[in-house]
Amino acid sequence: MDKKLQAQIVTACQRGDPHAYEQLIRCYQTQVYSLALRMLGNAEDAADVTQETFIRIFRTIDSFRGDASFSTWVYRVTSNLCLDWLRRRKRQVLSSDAPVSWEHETAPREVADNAPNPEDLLAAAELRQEIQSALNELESYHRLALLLRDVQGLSYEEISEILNLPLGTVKSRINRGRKQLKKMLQQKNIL
Amino acid sequence: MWELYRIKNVKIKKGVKSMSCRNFQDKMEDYIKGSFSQHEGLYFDEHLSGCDKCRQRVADLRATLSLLQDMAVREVPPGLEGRIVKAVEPVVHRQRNQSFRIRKLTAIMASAVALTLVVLAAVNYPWGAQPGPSTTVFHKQPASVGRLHPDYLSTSNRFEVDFYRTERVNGLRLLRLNIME
Repeated sequence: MDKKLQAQIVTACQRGDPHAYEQLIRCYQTQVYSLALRMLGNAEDAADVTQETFIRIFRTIDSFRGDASFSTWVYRVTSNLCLDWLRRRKRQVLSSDAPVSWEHETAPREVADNAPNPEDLLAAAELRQEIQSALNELESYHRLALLLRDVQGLSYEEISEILNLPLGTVKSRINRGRKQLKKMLQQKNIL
Repeated sequence: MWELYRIKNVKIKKGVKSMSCRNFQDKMEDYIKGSFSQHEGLYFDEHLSGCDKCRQRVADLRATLSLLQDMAVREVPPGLEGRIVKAVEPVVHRQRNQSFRIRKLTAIMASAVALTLVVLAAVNYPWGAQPGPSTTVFHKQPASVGRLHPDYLSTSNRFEVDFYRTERVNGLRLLRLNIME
């Protein structure tokens, strides 16, 4: 999003403009939900964390001074809430065999001529499910850094700012996460 | 023996193992994403041409990254936006009320200060004072002055003092001078 527009929306929210809040939710809900879903591996938990993230953002929006970009701040809140959530269900180990409340699949409602057939969609969903179960087995800090880099597409510097960690630590976590994930995917015969 | 090859104005030493596997792995992501200079690219190619392990590493990382890219969510589930809006409503309402209360409180305090100033000015204003032979003037008394000193009044304002007394007005020690013209 354009930084100027982003700043305008945030300022409007700080003034208490009700329309600005809805606009802000529309702008950031996908990025928040995407990270939460891949971190938690569960659609219901991801929706809960997304909701909680926005509640926390709006509760503390007055404290946002614009030192970092708003997007970075949103990612920071989301990351912290995801880690808190995982800590709370620490003992509840996700099993790849457990019934999965799978993500909302966005299949087109009106099937176009060149749309993938249902078998392809099913195969793609199954593959994503396998990858998600491999991600779930990673250590949460490695998973978080990996997702921010390779799924959300953030730079190392942005991730360092979000996680409040030195650049070297961020790189090391991402590399370790990738190596672990590669092993998992090889075990599942995906790679 | 070194051979020099010129490829698009870039020189590279052929036959020299210029990049270790460790160095290559540090730069492997840049190589896959194509974010490297022409000069670096030649060194990468040279290293890969002689290193099966790194070629395999590149293939694995490329496949992993490609799989991960497909894991990004493009849309939120239907109904989630409405649920979030509903959930944040009380927070937004409270925030709005709070900021309204702060603004209201600030306005009340500003009005109170302004009113106090007006009242103080009104109290100290010499209502009904008539110009005459005897004028009352106020001067702040210096701490060191125990008794009335001629220099106490400015030269342009020398008067013969009939009598004086000290008063305390709004925390200030004042001398009330009754001056004869």
